Amino acid sequence: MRYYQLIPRTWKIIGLETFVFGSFIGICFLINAIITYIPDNPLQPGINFVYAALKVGIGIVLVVIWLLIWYLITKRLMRNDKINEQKIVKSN
Amino acid sequence: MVTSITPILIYVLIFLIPILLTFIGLPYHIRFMLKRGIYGVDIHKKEKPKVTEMGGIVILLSIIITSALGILLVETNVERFTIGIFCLTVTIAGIIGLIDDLVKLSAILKPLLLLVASVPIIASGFYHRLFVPEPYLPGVGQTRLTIVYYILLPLIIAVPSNSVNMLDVFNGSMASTSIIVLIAIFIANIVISGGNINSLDMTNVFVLMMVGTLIVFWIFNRYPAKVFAGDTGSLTVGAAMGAIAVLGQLEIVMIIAMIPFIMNSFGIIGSVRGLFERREMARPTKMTKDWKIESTRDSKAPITLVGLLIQNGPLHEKDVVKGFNILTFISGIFAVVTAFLIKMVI
Repeated sequence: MRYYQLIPRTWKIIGLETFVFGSFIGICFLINAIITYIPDNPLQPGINFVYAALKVGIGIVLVVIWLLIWYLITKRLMRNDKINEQKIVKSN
Repeated sequence: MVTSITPILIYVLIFLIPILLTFIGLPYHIRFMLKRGIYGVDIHKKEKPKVTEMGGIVILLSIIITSALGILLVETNVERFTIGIFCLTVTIAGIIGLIDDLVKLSAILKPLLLLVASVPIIASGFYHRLFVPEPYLPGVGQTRLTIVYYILLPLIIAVPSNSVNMLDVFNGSMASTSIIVLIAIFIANIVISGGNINSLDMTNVFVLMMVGTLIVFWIFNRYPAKVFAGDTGSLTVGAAMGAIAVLGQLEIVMIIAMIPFIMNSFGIIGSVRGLFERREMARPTKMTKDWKIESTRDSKAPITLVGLLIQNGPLHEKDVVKGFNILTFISGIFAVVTAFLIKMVI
């Protein structure tokens, strides 16, 4: 089988890849907006540290949410395939 | 008088030396192992051919020897130190893989041991810290993670190692997909660093070393395989990818390039709810009468990337690997796009 003949078999996974990539870029721009929104306060090191920790914390939470969504969609997509396969077996 | 070698010549040598070493080493390894009866059976072929195991030993030796020669070629102590740390990290992962090939480690112990592989990189800080705990994010630029980065660092080596290991299931699959990822990383690094050929970029050195080794390994490992990489090979290659990501500050680009690998691992770990060895799980695939791969439809079997590819009917082993290559190629393009997005903000 040639490579182009395999494309219809992979479109669903390519779709997931595109979603994963697109959502990650979206999250990055969201992180950027949050970082810009939370100000730096170099004159008060204590508050500045809290702000910096907040920025990192929000960033990590967003990335964890992204990973979780990625994981859930992958699992769901694969589970649907499993259900479809079981239906095929029953119909046979 | 010491004559300095130009970066271009170092790149060429670092690429050609592992090609030569692997090309000489693999046929010898195949003969040696077959003579001693150390082989596996390729269950995806009708003839059930005997295929030499642990070809990863040659990959590992090629990296060690090329690194040693690289240390002699480069000019500064920091460059020598960087090569040494990269080599040590990869060697630790390779040795863990070798132990696993010989005595079969448990599915929990193996990833735990792989966390140790990151120790040389972390310990490099005592002499000269080789990594910057500030990964680049597209649209954001450099982020300051400092403490969090140190916590995540062991995972940056262990996760790619295990992911590559989980995708090494068919003839040539590990080598071809890894080559695509590494080429994408090479291009992404040139995009981010600006690609100045007059200065030596260690990321390019490591990528070229790995690609040189893997191209020759792929020739022997592609369908019909004459040698299997074994855990020695897959863990070595995965650890090298992780080390390249850390040392080259390309963590995010590497994650994007490795999307199919991570997706496969997600599926396996999620469906069997935990870490299990391949031999402990129900088989997700079986062979048809015309020797194509189809799903076993066993509800206890792990859900894998192969499962999605063979959803609409059985596929030949070669075509499944081609499917993997298409998916990795797409993620490779995304990785390069990520590099451009990073470049825009730094």
